[in-house]
Amino acid sequence: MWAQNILNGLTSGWLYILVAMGLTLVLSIVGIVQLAHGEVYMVGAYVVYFFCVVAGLNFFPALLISIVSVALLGVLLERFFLRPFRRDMEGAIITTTALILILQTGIVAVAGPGYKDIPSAAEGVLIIFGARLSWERLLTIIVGVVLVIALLLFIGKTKVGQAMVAVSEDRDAAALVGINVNKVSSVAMFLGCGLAAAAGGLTGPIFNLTPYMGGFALMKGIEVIILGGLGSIPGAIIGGLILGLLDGLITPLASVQMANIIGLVVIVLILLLRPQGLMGHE
Amino acid sequence: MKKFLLTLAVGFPVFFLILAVGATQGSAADPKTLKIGVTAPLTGPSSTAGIPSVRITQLAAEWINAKGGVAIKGEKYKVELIVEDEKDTIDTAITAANKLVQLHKVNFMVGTISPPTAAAIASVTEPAHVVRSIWHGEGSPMEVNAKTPYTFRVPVVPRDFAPSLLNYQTKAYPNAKKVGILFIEGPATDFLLEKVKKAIEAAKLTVASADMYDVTTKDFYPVITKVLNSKPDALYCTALPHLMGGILKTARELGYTGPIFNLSPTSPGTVRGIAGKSNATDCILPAPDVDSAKMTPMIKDIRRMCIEKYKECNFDYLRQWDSFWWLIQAIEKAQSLDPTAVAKTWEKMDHFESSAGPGKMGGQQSYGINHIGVLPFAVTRLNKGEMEHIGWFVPDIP
Repeated sequence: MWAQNILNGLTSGWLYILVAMGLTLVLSIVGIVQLAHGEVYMVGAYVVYFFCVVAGLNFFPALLISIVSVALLGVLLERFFLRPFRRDMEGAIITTTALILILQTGIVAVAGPGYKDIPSAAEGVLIIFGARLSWERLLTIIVGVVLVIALLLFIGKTKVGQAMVAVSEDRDAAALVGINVNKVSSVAMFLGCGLAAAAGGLTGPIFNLTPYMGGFALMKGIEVIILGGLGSIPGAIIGGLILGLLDGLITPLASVQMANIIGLVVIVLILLLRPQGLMGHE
Repeated sequence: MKKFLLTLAVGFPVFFLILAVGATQGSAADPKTLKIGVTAPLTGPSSTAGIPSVRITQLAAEWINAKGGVAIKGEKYKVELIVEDEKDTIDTAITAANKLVQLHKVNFMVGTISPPTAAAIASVTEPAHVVRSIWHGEGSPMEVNAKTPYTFRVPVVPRDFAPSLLNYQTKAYPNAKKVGILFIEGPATDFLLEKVKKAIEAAKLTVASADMYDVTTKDFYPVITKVLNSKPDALYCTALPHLMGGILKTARELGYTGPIFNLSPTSPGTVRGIAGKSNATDCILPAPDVDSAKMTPMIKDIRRMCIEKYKECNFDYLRQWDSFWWLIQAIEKAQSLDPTAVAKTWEKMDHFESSAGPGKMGGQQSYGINHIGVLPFAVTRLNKGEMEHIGWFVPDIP
């Protein structure tokens, strides 16, 4: 029982991490709470659906197309919807809220309001120490881990990545030393939206698709990055795993409702002790 | 100038004469109109159920109009639907109902998909004496009760599916004695849980566990792990189509092999699609496979019309046809557009035509008012990835 509960928690945690990773990247570098991040995740899942189910492509090329196309969409969103409101919080809230409606309605118009499903990319179940895990969940975790490592390497080992760190710490100082803040913001949106598309595409076969699936992703993403620390990628990983493990361990002992309540209580307690979150900066 | 004035002098009267004749001819040719309000979530997450429901109601209205309209005392009335988005939220539902009642002056309404919005709209329609045929529900007093003399519910709901499905379970799965319950948490859940527990006891079965989950749940691994810890032989759920797909898929991935029943009517095709064919086995749903050759001629006709108009048809579309059609049948039976007369007639009607076969009104003993539709429902079993039509069941709603 405990092995199953822990495994459930770890898989939930990695799903949360995937969703939160792009959100924290955009927040820290573009400087805007991208309220439509959940809808970008949703669009990513629908692009996989179109290429995989409608066009008949294999899941993996469909996922790749989704990541690249939604990442490019992110660049356009940054240029035309976010950049004009970088120093205008009210404008940013209104614009990103409008984006939620535009993307939801766009998908309803194209794909209809009903549920869609993507066939499993890896059928079957793996049994580890008596605990069961579907291969598609394991695939999601593996791809998720690879993407997170790739992101950390990109940020740590490339000039653009270092520029992103500089912009996230002090945008004006970064601009003064010659970093093109607009270009870095575009790259951040490219990566953030690509990660959201990967999360949407990978979780599409596990769950299901509706034009309104983004709400869950945004809420979980916000919980994770508040817990882990705004803008911190290691924080998003730790925050996601904590929330996932709470879901996995508390639900079987008490109830779904209690797991939700305890998850939020833990966030509040950690914020009281460390207002910047577990790994956030002062 | 003189020619211009002459043209004006002759032209204007002629122009108005033509207009007047045209208008007279138009009004003589136009049939009378029967306005029916529709409240449904057209935006937001519940629109996945609301949009198909509105679409099928529009199709049913077109079908009635194509047959000449609603016949009352020798006159024909064309149905005009006035649709308002209620977003499945209480405040918007009340606003939508007020708009339909006060601005559009409707005396008849169909719609709403959840008990809270049904109750909210009743606060507007009951005092205004508007006859309303609600779409969904769980069977709680929030939807229809002795104090809602103008509210009717036609579709069969989880509370009334339970005895029939338990009866089927005892025959099809005689070794399944312990039942696990997994219901969506909601304002009517405790009431439904109590009714279902009584039905389980009446079927001489025992309750292994009773758990609730949130309607926004995506990952069912934790909650299904908890349910399976009680070692149930059969599982009873309430779930929307996508949730049922998730529950079925997760339960099978976690190694559960017993039958899984959904007390909520959900499109079998949607559930199978989400669960995956390999997981879609021994799942019993109180809903028809609309593509099955065993459907009634009426359902086949509706399916054909639905596909012609909307390019798709599943149970999410089909299920609201009868809510609208029974309202029309009650109006025609009453031979009146007076809502009080229609309500009084409707509650006494012992014969209705429905897409699934003949039905009648019931519920006096169970609900305190004879405002509940008693009509056949199809049961479909997902088995080894295929859809099997088990048969037509008629609920017992005294």
